[in-house]
Order: sequence, then C-alpha cells, then structure tokens
Amino acid sequence: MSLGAQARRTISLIVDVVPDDATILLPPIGEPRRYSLTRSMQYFFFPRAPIQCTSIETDTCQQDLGDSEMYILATEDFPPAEFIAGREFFESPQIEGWWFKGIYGPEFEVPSGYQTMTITSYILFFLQDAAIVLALCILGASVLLTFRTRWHLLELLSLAFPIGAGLFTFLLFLLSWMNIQLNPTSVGFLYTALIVILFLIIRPSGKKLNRKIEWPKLSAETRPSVFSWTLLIALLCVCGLSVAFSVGLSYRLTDPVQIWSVKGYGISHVGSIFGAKSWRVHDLAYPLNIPLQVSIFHLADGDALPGSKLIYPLYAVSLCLGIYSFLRRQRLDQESALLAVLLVATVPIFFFHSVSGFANLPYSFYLVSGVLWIHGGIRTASKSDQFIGSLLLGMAAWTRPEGIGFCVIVLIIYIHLERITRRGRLYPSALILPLAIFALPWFVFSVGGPYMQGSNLDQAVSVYSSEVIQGNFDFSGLWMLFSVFIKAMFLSSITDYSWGVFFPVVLIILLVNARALRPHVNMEGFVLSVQTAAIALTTIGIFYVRSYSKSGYASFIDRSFPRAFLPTAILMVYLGLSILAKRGDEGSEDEVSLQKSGE
Amino acid sequence: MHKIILFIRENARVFWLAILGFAIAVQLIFLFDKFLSSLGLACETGLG
Repeated sequence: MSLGAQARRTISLIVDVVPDDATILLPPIGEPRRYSLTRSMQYFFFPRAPIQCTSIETDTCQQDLGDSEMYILATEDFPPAEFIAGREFFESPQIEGWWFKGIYGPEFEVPSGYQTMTITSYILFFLQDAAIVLALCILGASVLLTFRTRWHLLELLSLAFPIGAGLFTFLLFLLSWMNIQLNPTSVGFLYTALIVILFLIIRPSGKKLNRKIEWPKLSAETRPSVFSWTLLIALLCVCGLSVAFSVGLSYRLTDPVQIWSVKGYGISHVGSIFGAKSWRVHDLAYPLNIPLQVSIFHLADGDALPGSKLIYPLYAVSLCLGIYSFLRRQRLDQESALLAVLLVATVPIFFFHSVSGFANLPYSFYLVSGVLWIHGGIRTASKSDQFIGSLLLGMAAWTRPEGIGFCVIVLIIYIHLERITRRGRLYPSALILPLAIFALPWFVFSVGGPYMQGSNLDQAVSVYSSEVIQGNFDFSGLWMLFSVFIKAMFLSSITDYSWGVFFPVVLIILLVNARALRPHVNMEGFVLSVQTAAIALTTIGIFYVRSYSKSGYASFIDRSFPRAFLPTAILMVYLGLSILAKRGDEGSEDEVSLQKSGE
Repeated sequence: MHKIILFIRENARVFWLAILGFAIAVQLIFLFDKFLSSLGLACETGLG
C-alpha cells in the first residue's frame, strides 16, 4: 500500500520466480527508486540474500557478476553485456519510466502469478496473530497475579502484553544462547511450561483475578458523563486507526525494515538468535526483545499480514491505559484523565510510532511505566509495586541499547531522593534484582560476545572519550540539539514526525502550576519532576556524545532526537495533569472547610 | 471571598480542560488532514 503499486508488482515478481536460497545482485545506485541498498532489500526479498554492487568497476562486483549462480536485477545499463552470456533472462512486463527490466539467473521457478490473499485467509491469519497476542497477554497477566492478590482490570490490561512479551522473549533469548533451536515445538513447549508453573504458583494461594475496578472516586462523579463517553469513543477510534494502519502499511521505513523486522525473520529462519547477526544492521548490538517478538509471528504464519505489526499499537494502547490508570490513582477526574490520554494519542509523532514499527514506543512504555510503578511503590511502601517497576525497567534495558543507562540513573535518583526526603519506603532488593536479572545477561552477551565492539554506540563513546581526554570539547552539538528541540517542539509545521501542539500546552500547564511542584508543597511531584528532568538530560547527553562521531549529525538528530524525547514528554504530561489533580483535591478540601465554617 | 476562590478554581479546571480539548481538536484535524494522507494511501506514490 505504501510503497506503491509498481514496487509491489516488481517485488512480488522477483520473490515469485527467484528460489528462496538464491543470492540476488542489486544494481548500482542510478535512477531514483532503484533497489540498490542491501540492508533495505533484505526485508523485501527475505529469505533471499541480496548483495550490493557499489560500482561495476570494483573487483567485488566483477566477481559477483561472474558468478554463474547469481541472480542479477537488470536495468537498462546493468549488468554489462559481457556478463549476460549463458544466463537465462526472465523479462518483466515493461512499464515506461520504470527502471526494472527483468532478472538474469541460472534458472527460474514457474511464476504462480501474483495472487492477492482472499478475505478468508486474511481473517484466518488475523485470528492466528490475535491468538499469539492473547497468549502473551495471558502469560503477562499470570506473572502479575503472582505479585499481587488484587488488580484493577485496567492496570492489569496495561501491563499484561508488555510484561508477557518481554518475559517470553527474554527466556527465548536465554534458551537460544544455550544453543537450543527455536522452532514452533520448542517455543510452544516453553510457553506451556511457563503457564503450568505460573498456574501452580497462583492456584494454591487462592489468588484470583478481581475484575472489579475500584478507582478512588471524586464526590461529584457517579457514572461516566456523555463527555467521557465521547472522549472514550474518540480514543477507541484513534486506537482502531492505529491498528489498521500499522498492519495495513506493513514495514516500510528505514529502522523497521533494516533492524526490527528482518532480524526477527532471520531468527525464525535460522532458529537461533544468532540468525539476527547476518540480517542487517547493527549485528547483535541491539537488544532482541522486539526482533524476538517479530520472530514468534514469523514462526507461526510467516508474518503474512504482517501480524507482528500488532505489537506497536498494542504498546501504544498499553501506554495510554497506563497513563489513564496512574492519573486516576492521583484522584484526577475521568474527563481530565481521558483528555490527557487523548492528547498523547493524537500527537503526530506518537501516532506515527504506533503504526511504523520503531522500538521507541515499546521502550517508552517500559521506561515510563517502570518509573511510575517504582514511584507509587516507594510512596505506598509496596514491595511488589517496586518489584514490578524494576521488572519494567529491566525490560526497557532489554528493548533498546541505551535502556540500561537510563534505568541505572532512574534507580540511583530514587535511592538518593528516598534517603533525603524520608518519604515512603524503599526495598533495595525489589528495586535492583529484576533489573539486574534482565539487564546483566544481555550486557554480558553483547559486551562479551563481543557484539557491542564496533557498534555505533561503541564508536560514539570511544570517539567522545578520546576527544575529551585530549581536552577537545565541542559544544556546537549542544547548540544543534537545542535548535532541533525548539524546531521540533514549537516551530515545525505539523508533520508525521512532529509533536503537534503537545509541548506548548504541556509546558503552559507545568509553568503556570510550577509552584505546586515545590518539595514542601508536593514532595511526590517534586521527586517525579527530578526523574523527568534526569531522563531529559540523559537523552540530551547521549545525543551530545554522538555529536563527536556522527558525520551527518544534523540530519541524524533531526530524525532521531524528537522520537528519543517520547519518555520525557509522556512523563511531562503525567506530571502536569497530576498537579491539576492535586489542585482539584485542594479545591474539594476548601469546599469541605467552607461547608464546615458555614455550619 | 472563599466563594470567589472556589469559583476561580472551578473555572480553572474548565479552563485547563478547554485548552486540552482545543489541543486535541487541532491535533486530530492535522492527523486526518496531513498525516494520514502522507502515509501513502495514494498507491502510486512512494517507491513505485
């Protein structure tokens, strides 16, 4: 749908006639829209291996052209005539102005003709994918029920899929690291074993799912108003659109095509996490939570829909449910909480990430939820809540490479602030253990592998360290970050990558009510604002470190910085609305005191 | 005096809700107008 009809016809034709185990030589860069990038075309030609010919004059390209087993995509000027002899040619239907002329190769499979899937097969694939999602939700919910006896349904729904998926992929990673083949049997066996174990843990203690939602209600609020229903319907429409666009558009952009999807396909194809190494880019330097989730869908049905694109709107919905339930915990009224969630859900960059297949939104979910669960856990002296928060932080470290740094900073700040403020109670073992269980094995694997060596993160830190040791400080990167921030947050026209009107609105709320965040007035708000500032500064710090080594730094931050700000932005909206909730409470207290004085 | 304070606070909530509502309306309009069309619903755009 998104690549265009001609691209779809060409890709379909190539995968129809070229055998699965073939190697395809791509033409050098020429006309616009030529398929010249190996790292992008791996996804579209999967499992065929495309290789790049940077220039006909190079020895590598000459060797590849001379290989009689090679399949070569033909254009008007490629391959050169001397390499055509003795090869079969499969001619493509000619379209005026289109670069693709056909394929040279040793032999071709009989074309079946491009057949679109029937409605029935779409429904069957969708049901199969929905069953995978449901299974992961059940796993997550079962894990959560071992921690607490009673759950609010929305809180459970918010956490079930991300926790289930994160835990399951982590165990798959450990199994594969131990050289156990990942196939439908081993994956199914692991799932069944987990469910049986969790069932045995939950059952004897009589813990049952309590479906009664017991939000602390405000006095004037008895049942949802018409306005609340309208907001809820609008929210459901946005979520529905997100699911439809995510699956309908498939994978089409650089990172989703080059990292998150194709690595999952590689893992499923080879039956091992090491399969991700040969499928572009970054080898095994990036954590495998998302690729392993994708691989589950690929194992089940070849990711035909692709069902793995359900992952991203699910994280968006989980995040919305999380924001809503935490705001309701703060005694914010239903309408304001729904408005806050709708404000986040309609931010262009948030919607874009819920349909596009990047790992930033899943990562934001884990980081933000982890921060909020720990925050609530310390305040209420709940060991299980702190454990859940730490588990979520561990999964953040298992989702993106920079996650571990953020999580350690979050924990250090909580530990320090709890000592200074003496509010609530902190359980160090519950805070550190789950994070360590998730982060350490991946850290040992990626650094000891050594898969981190030579990665962009490794290069960035090395270049930065060597420059700083020599006393070469360059603050121009900070200025560029500042200008990109201002442009993305306030000045840019609304595009799919922009923040819409989110920052002006949230900053107004925060600035006008800033007095309500003073430590002696609202210690919890103060602690959370320190965490939010720390996450923002860490994000800026990471991009500043990269400014020393990125040649195309300006375009890099233009593309990447706004999306890296997702966790900070979501914490900001939560902070802003929780202040309003506090003020609402003060209002009700005043009302009570007035009534008393009137009496 | 207390009633005036209460009145202001009551309206402050409406004020903030109105701002949030307005922001959502703006974002929804842009979401439908620009973003959804730029996603490539027109099939002959993009790569092909």
